[in-house]
Amino acid sequence: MSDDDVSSLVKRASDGDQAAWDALVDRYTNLLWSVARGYRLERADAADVIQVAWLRLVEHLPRLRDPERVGAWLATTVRRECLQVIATRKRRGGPVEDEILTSLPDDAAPVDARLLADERDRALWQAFAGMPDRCQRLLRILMADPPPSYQDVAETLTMPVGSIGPTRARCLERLRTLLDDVNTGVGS
Amino acid sequence: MSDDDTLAETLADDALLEHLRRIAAIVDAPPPLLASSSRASFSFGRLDDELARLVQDTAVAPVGSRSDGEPRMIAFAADEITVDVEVTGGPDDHRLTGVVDGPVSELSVQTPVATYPVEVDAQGRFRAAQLEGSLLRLTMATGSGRRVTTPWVRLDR
Repeated sequence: MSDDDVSSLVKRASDGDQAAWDALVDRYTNLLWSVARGYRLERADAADVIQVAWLRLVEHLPRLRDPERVGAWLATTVRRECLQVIATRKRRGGPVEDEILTSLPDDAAPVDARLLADERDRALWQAFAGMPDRCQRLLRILMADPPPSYQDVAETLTMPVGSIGPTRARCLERLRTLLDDVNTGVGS
Repeated sequence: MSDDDTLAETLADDALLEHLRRIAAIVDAPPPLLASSSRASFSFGRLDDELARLVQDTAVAPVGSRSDGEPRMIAFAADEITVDVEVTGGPDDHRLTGVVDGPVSELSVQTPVATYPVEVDAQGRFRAAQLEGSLLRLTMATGSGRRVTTPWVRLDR
């Protein structure tokens, strides 16, 4: 979808066109989900922060400065809400990040991985879940369908756009190493 | 490392990422209800209302700047109105205790699924309890017939 198409959807939505709004939802839901899950929010929290982003967009539609950048606007809103959820959990002394993964079996990646028929895929997903935060965030957002532009990724994760490619390469390299460890039983 | 190697690695990286994308679609797809509730949020646009500003929210204050266990305090301001709200209770039983200053003739608490009219006493105080879900906002009518709506607030689960 080109920038022009996105701007025209935003324009039509701010004129009250529900179909244009629905098209934006279809375009960006998977991206926003990828951002929130990259921050390892539980599924219910992830759904909440995404709904907040859409509700905020409804309020801001007429004032949106760069309509063609609405995806980055939504993703950035989701990231800020994610940070707030994480800060609240920390303040409460509740489980954060890694602990969420291990303490909530319904959400834990290794359990979800049972849905995968192929054992190699399960090992791959398990290795991904064991990666450092910044790699999980970046790779998870890059897994969005349709894939986001590097510019949107950079804006959302507040990284320089030129660092996305090299960081992606390093994280995938690290994933391969972790996968080798899983496969050879190291660290299990 | 030659350019060919770099290209081969990039291609391999693309394939690996595409593989991860397929796995994510199986094990970590967005809940189907998410898209429908996001579509429905369009009907919550109130473009003719004045949007109140969020002027304080202790839940987004920097860590360490408030004591743990204290109720969350949220303040909104609009042209003619200010509202202070204290949020207590827990998931699916959030309670609001608030005070509004200004010519408010009508006040409702709204969630994405329901609107609850709330009585405001002569001192501007109001209460709402047993609020379900985790998102809410206030909508108000002023004496002059203007409508004011606050931004959405996300409550802790």
